[in-house]
Amino acid sequence: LKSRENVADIDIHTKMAKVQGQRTTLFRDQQGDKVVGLVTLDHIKEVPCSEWPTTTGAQVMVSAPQTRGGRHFLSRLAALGFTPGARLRVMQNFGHSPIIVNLRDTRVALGRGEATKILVERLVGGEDGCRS
Amino acid sequence: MAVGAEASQEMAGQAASVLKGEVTLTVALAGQPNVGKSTVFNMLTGLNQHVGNWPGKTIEQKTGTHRHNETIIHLVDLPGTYSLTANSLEEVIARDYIIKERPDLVVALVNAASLERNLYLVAELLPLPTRVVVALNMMDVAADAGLNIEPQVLQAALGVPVVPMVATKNRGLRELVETLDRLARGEISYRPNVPEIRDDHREVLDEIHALMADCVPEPYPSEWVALKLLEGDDEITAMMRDECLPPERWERVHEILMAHEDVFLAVASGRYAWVVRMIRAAVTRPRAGQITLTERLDRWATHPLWGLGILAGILGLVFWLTFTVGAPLQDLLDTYVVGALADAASAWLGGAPAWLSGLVADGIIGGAGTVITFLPILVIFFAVLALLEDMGYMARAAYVMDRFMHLMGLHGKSFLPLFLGFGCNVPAVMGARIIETHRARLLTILLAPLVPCAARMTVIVFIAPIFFGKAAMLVAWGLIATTLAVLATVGVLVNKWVLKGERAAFIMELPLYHRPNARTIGIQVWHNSTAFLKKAGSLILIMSVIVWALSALPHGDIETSYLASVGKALAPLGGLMGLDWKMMVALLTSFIAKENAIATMGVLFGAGDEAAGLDAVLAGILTPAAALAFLVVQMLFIPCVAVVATIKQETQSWGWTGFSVGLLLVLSLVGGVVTYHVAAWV
Repeated sequence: LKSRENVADIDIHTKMAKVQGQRTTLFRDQQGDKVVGLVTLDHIKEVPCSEWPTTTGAQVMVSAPQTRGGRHFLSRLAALGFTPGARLRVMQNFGHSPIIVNLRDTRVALGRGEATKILVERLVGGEDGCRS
Repeated sequence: MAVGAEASQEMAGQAASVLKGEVTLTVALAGQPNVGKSTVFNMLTGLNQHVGNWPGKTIEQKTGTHRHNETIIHLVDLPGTYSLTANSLEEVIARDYIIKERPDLVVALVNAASLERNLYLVAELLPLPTRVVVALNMMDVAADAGLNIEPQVLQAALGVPVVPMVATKNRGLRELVETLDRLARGEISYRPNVPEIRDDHREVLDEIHALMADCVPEPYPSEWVALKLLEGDDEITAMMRDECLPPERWERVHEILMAHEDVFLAVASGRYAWVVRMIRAAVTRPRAGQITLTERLDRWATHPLWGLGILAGILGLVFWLTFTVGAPLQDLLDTYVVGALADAASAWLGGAPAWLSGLVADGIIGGAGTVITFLPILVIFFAVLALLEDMGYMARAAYVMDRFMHLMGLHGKSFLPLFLGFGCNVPAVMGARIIETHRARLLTILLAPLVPCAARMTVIVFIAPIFFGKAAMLVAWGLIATTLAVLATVGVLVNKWVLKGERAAFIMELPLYHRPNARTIGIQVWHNSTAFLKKAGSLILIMSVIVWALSALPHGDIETSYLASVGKALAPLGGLMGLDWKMMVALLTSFIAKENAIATMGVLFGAGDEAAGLDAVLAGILTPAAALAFLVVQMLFIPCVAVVATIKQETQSWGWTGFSVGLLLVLSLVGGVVTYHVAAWV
């Protein structure tokens, strides 16, 4: 539980967006360079638990979601726990049907279209990776 | 608002008697989906409950009573919601009830196995003016998942009573009721640790609050309204803009809101941060690397390929059950109950005028018979649906079907009710209740009659061999495939042109699998079945009597009846499909029940009830092209009276019921004409 509150990390991204005045710049840092590790959720492949924690990339962090999803959508996501800083693990992603993730002790299925609207950051390592 | 005033008077009355003696408490049961809310509700109220709709809404409202010593608890089941922001009708209903009707207490039912997400709703409930008791359900599921939860630690953190429970095993319910009673009587202290907005947004909130606090309408708490404005809640925004604030002040509020558009995420994050603080000491987690039963089962159940296989297996089993158990039961009921009743009535009314015995035997008992004979199949479907839902499988079925339903702007969830349609369209329409959004539910209901039901299959099975010999099987499959293609096309078109609007985002919780609870399933089946009997049943009966009257009046003979006149009037239309007026009347009577078409043909073509002679007569008067056209019309024709009545009951709208009937009427006639001409030309 100790690393669950990564609120500070997220504030960096929100501030970034404000500095640039544009939401699309969430992909870039203050110098305008691409931020390494920020991808949309649909790009994250699941990693079998047996390989955890030797493999990295199974756990991701919800970064400030892109707001093109619309307020309603984001509000629903937020209520389900997809808030900036939340940790989630991709349980299933075959590259076509909906994705299954685990966050805040809940398994959530998410359409691919929806997954492309969530910006995440790969995390390396971590103790509480393989829990359902 | 009048309702609110009434409620507060009631509150005043209760407050006086709170300390001792007989007390009536109004308790709202709130909770997110998949927390076992209906189990708790059913356990507490048993059959002592009333199922209706929320005033002016098509969402089901369940209320019930529970007696505990001198306390009568009037329990109101709120819709399952993840939050109290106006993202859905359910959320609006839940919070409006708490704010406007002011129940004495709210039970926040939470799933101990996913406490972090579940307490989010509690974070939204605590700032409201009603006292909250947290019921920590599914402690056994949490234990199975390796979670160790200490309820008293959580209680100390939250400052509100926390009651651990396993509702399916009837553990903790008594304690819950006692806690409610003692809290209402002031025997337990109540000092909630209400989540505060994060410091960096405190200023904005205060600014907005100051601008509008004096004109927030009763009974809304003003700080709560300010927070909802900040969260961008549509309903509250509209209320403040249109009804409360003078335009120039709204301008200022609006400006602030626009400058802080992203704050709603911070508010949600803040609530979750509060939740994490609340559970930090109370929950001990398992070590990493543990694979749960749910995860193991889902490797198969949600696999794109195996998942479909499992679903097909389960659906096959349902079909098998329907045909081996349901259909024979239906026949038995038809012969020994309905048939015997009709015979007895005819015998008893032997001396009465023919129209009277006809009305009773054919109209009333025949109509009631239709209702009763539906029951076995309905009960089977309801039971299977309730079982799958209670076990947690339903979400998986929706998951694997989502790809296909996507094409029609629907979610996977719509697949299950539609599938039920193969047995009978009535449970299909009723099954659409499991779909959350109004738009998707309506679309599913509109599509349900296009699923070829068992009764229509019997007509095909009778007619196809007469005209197509060995190719009959092929024709039957072709007809089914065509109907399903029409269903898909109509789905795509209605989605695009009629029920416009975004397909709601596909975000669905996959609950942990757990053992089903017989009582929950039993009560669910009981309620759905009685609801069908009461509501749809009476409409079916009335319509059956009307159709019977049309077919018997004025001379007690179908060939000279009003129905025949209608059939004759429709003859020119029938001509376009190669059908004479008798065939049109056969179509019309299939409105009572699809299989009636054959019986009517028997009467009109003078072959008697014995179908033996009918095939020869039909072969003589119909060309194969006309027969095919008839079958196509039959497949797509307006749904039977039972389905129409159910559509009315479920949509609460004659408009949509009419739309459904009109759509199918046009579809079937166009389909028939096209088929006839194409087939005749080929």
